[in-house]
Amino acid sequence: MTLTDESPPMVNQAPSVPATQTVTLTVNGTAVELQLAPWTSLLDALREYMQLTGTKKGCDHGQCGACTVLVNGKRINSCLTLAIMQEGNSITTIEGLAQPEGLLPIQQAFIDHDAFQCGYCTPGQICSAVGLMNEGHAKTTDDIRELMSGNICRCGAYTNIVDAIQAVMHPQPDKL
Amino acid sequence: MINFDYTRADGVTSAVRDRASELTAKFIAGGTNLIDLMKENVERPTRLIDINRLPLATITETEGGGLRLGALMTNADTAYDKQVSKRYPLLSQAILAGASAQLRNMATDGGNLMQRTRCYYFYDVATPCNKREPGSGCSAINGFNRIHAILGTEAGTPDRSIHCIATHPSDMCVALAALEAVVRVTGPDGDRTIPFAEFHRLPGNTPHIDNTLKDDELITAIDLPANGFSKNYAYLKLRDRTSYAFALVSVAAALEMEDGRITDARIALGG
Amino acid sequence: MTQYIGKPISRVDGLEKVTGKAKYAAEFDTPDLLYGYVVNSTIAKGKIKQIDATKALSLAGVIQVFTHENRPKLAWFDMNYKDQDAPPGSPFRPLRDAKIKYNAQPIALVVAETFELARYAASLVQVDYEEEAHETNLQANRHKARKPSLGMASLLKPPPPKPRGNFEEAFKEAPVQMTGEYVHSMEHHNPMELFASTVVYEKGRNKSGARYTIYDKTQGVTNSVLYVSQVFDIPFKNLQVLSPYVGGGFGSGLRPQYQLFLAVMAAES
Repeated sequence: MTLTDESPPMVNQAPSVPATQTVTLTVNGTAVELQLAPWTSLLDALREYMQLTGTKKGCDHGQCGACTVLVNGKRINSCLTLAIMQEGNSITTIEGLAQPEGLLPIQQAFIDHDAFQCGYCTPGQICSAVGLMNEGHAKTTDDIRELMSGNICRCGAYTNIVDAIQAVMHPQPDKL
Repeated sequence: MINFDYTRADGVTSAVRDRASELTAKFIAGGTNLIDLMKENVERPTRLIDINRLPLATITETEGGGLRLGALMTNADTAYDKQVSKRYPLLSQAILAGASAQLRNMATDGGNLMQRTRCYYFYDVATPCNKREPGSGCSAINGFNRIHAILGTEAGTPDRSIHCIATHPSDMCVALAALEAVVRVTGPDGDRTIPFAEFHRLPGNTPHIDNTLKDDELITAIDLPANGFSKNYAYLKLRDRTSYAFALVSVAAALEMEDGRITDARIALGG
Repeated sequence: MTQYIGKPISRVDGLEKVTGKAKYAAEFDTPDLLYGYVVNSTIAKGKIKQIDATKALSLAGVIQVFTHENRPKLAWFDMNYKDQDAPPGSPFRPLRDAKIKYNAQPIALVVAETFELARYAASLVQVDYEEEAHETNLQANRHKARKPSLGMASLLKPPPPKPRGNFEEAFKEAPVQMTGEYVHSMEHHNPMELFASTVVYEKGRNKSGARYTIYDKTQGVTNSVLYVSQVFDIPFKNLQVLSPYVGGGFGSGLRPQYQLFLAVMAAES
């Protein structure tokens, strides 16, 4: 038995550098024009082209959740989408969460409940927690654990992260 | 990731036409798997045709009394949809057993069918893999294959492939197989439907071809038959951790009962 | 002390961490910043017969591809590559020669104007290997085990405590005896923040006047300073290593990792 000769289309492209084009991203309420090639991920656009380094690069494969941002209020992995695909959408990063009058309750809860150690997963955890509360499907602590499983914390602050989310969800369920 | 062009499709017909004129192009919707594979140089499309703005993000009733899931419905919006969770709870349960909340918000129903295996060797371009590079060999058969196929891999099994033991990683698809869903596709020659069980292919002698969709065809919707088995159903998934891991083994089971007797039974296996 | 155990404590760095303002090693923007992408070996043992970067270098915006063939002349002696926590034996020296000692060994560094371009160019570097048989199964090679040699680090560490009691005696008299062998799975450090170094190089009037400000993902800045100084022959006074935040290390951040070497080498060139 041998492999049949139904080969996939082969790409034999001569090496070349893509041209950049104007990409308009709306980040934290402000429209920004960037010169980007299609191959730039939303994560790299935020960090390297806009200096919004609050959104973290961990695995760059959608497994760790450190790059979580909100797009039209929903949490996504910014490493697995291209910046150019997000034109016209409203992107919120950790830098855009705090209000002029102060931190969001979830940010304060992360401080009060000591929901981090090294802090590298924290922006992603907080954006994910905001997304979780927007979605409204978590009712119990088990639900929180399940629906936060896309965010990894290697320092092991999980129990305090759940406490912080619980604290914000229950006393003020309509705040976020 | 290689250099590629980017086009935003403004209609189904033009999207299919663009794809047909450049067979090394690929459609992109959620991108959760495709972009990852592009970073690893496993997928090397010369053009991405962004279909996210096509009007395929709806759930509608079918004439047969079932539901039609538009190909661009996200996995999350499908699983939490009132009609889907009430009439097809097996499907909701299976979708929510897969991936993470972030990924389910991005991934689309059509894309879920089109995702590729998570075989480690398929991802690692430094290793032989018949699915990635036909004829190079299979590293998994005698390698680390905890997440690979169990059924159909033993000598003497009908349809056994000696070239590939990779599995399709989807949870959603296991439920769709049990529910006997129908995949609606469109191409340059018009529309056609593919029964779910005929959509994905066994590796056989062509492990690089995952499914029966033609290169220039686009999935437009997935039809769910009227019977959703909403009374007696279960999706069981065994994995290395309790959330956000691919199935080692999964089972979608659905029963129709009448007076304590089973009148119809569906079992689909995954992982 | 016990009053703090198991209780959440508000941290002084909390505000910066929950607002995304805490900056880690790869987050210091500097004018004309270049990006490096590492080419890793795809074999576990052998040597590089040929390494061809022509295609990578043909792309506009690719600045340089460093390999063992064109790297700058560096400190010759092993001693210079030993950091404060180095184990005994000959230390790993990135891009030293054509030898491959482990899978995914860094064998080239592509430097380009953007990260995406450096990543693409790295995929175009063609490497021909002469492969040798490797042995990576620790269990199968246990019969070759030997006591590790004592290094500098082990001399500085306190000796293990003296044995107490008499195990042999107690075990012999135990009413129930059970012996077993347990093998646990592989464990990795896997911190959330991956290794990164940003080197800000400021030219001086002459070579010895150049200044290096290095943002390194490290749990020991003095160790990084010492290593860079020894390997690149840079006086301490011209060298500053900063690590305001570390995104986890679990021990892997104690020693200078190869990205520090590669980033300093590229900046200096």
